[in-house]
Amino acid sequence: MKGLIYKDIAIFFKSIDKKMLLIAAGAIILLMVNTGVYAGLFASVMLAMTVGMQNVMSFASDEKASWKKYQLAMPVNAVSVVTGKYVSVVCTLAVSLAGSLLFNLISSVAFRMFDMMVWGVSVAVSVIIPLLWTGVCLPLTYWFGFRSAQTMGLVAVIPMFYLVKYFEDGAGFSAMTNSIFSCIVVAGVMVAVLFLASMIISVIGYNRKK
Amino acid sequence: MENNNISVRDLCKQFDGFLLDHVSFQVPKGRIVGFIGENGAGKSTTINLILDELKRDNGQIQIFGMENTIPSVKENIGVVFDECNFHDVFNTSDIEKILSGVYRSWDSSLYRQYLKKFKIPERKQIGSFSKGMKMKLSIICAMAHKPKLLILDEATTGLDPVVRDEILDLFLEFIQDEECSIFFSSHITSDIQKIADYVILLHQGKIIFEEQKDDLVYNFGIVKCGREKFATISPEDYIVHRITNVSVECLVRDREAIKRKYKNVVVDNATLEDIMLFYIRGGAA
Repeated sequence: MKGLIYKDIAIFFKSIDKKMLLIAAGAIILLMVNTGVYAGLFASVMLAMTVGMQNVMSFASDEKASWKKYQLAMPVNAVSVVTGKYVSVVCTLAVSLAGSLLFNLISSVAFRMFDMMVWGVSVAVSVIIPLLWTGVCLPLTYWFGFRSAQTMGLVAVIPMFYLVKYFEDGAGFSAMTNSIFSCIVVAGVMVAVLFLASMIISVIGYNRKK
Repeated sequence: MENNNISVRDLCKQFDGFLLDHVSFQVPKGRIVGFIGENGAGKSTTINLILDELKRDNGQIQIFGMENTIPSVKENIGVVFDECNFHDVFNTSDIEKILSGVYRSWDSSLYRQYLKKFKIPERKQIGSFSKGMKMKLSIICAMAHKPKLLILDEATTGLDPVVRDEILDLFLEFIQDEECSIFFSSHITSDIQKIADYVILLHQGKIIFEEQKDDLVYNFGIVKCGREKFATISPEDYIVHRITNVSVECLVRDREAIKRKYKNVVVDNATLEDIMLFYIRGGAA
């Protein structure tokens, strides 16, 4: 299984589309300029979405190389293959986390404001969003192929933009302060359960043969 | 003790418009079995069923005496498909890290030895390799974990004659260990003719023959004669005949016997390709 984990992590980094990277970088810079003290948070959300998308995009590389055909000839069972993929997703959270810490540091220095709440929420979203994204898209990929996951990924972007709008135009954190910690805990537990359930569904999907 | 590395019995698989129909054969230890047939005959389907990539409708497949559905059986199988299945962004070092983490018996020094022997660049991305280099890399990866069984699906396609010759010699070296065997499907019948011990011809999902290669190449022949001469040849003495514009050609099982019996007919040697074409395209029994 460690060979497959290496393969998925290597694909994650080596198959990054330069265009997607430029778009993500541009969006992050725009967000940081326009969102004031929440710049670090919004940049974290954007990076987390990018990490989630990239984990799904790596399946495009698998399909292009007809990797699954070769993998089926290996001495690995479906559980090892799928678990390897999910472990590699967890490993790539390091990118999302590191980016979140960096963006919040820049934002804190730029606006001379250190808000523990914003940092905490940023770290939480940097973990929750990629897990949520891949938890939904990976079973779709294993059952219906990469294209359906790609379509679903685009649909999932819409609520993210509503979230951004809520913080830009609404009361922001001040309306949520009392319950935000419990919301994050609940969201974290739900995403963890979803992630595990997603893995089981993916194993069943991977096992289906013609 | 199991003497066959692959044992297939009454294998059936149906798709729309195609039926693999009660296919049975063995791949003995220490032997190379060539698997030939035209496009769409069912060769790749058979290989995919052996590797448990497709679910069979009926029949039995055993590898090393065990059910082929057991994943650990594949630890001792090296597989080469007709295309390179490695991502373009990887280099040979990435491939080594991946496969050494999958196969317990991966031999890194053997891998690097093969890379050097076949002049595969170590730092270049696989996407920049030629088709021949990609196939060589696939073959190297199949052999570097010291398998007991090689399954090759059009593995020499795209290789130039010099490299094909080197690879075929490598395969011959591979089976010197009497425990190892090769199951080799190819359109290049000259490759099969060079190294195979047994040849199986598959046509429209059915096995037409399973013969020893030497028997086919050294005994089979092609009788060429005019229509008047053909009328004197007994139907029991040929397998199939075909009528051309200028002559009649018959595929015979024992050319020396035919030469002795029919003194004034021309009997040529038959290559594997000739035999395959006779069975698939030509004529009447």
